[in-house]
Amino acid sequence: MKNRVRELRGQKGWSQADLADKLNVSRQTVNAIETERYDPSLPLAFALAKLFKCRLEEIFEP
Amino acid sequence: MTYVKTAPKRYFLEVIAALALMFAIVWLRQLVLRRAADPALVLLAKLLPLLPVLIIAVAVWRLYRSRDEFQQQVMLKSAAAGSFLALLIFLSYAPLHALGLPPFSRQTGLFIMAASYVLCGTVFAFLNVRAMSGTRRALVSLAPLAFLLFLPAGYGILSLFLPLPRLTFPYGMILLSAGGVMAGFYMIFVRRIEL
Repeated sequence: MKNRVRELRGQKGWSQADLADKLNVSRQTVNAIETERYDPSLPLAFALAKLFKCRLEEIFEP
Repeated sequence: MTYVKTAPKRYFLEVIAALALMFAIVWLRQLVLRRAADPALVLLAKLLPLLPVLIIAVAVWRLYRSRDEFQQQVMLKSAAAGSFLALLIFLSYAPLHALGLPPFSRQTGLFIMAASYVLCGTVFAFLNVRAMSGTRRALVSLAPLAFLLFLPAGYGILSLFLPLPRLTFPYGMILLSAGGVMAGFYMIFVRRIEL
């Protein structure tokens, strides 16, 4: 699934480690989501949407 | 530092402690079995190696519980791949045995299973670290795990040419424990486990 996590993180000026800390996941997981090797679960996807203050479909597209 | 980050360090410390305990118990067990006559003491000496195994099982479970969703998935995939690889080796050995190869001992089976898990764990970890930090860093990071995997195999090959003691089960466990302790120290103090 395509996503805009890297772009949105860049806009906030956060590193992967910063985002991982905010989501309480590992940097490995943030990297896997950004490189589209892993599609997050719904709870994690919603946590991302809440953090970036946008809707799910603005971050992920099928 | 969040729990997700500190969990691997705790895991490696627990596994190092368990392997050091295994090392001591295997040595002590041989000593007791040679000298003790009391059946209760002999039974205790025979059961004692279960203790570090139990500690490792609890450590693995605690690590799994403390991982995030992606890491849990990787752990499960790696365990499944390890089991599948061991199964393939066991199944493919049956026709080879029929062709005249010697039968597996119980210890060989245990080593194959352990080696399959370590190999698959190393491969999955390598792929993840490579995706994050590049091939060079992945190779450097995972060198101790590869070392742990190849330590018994390397010893087995060396013992063919050098006058070394045969790799019996206790010796194999001691070798694996020593390799595990060294790998754990490397992960904690050199690599500083940044996952």
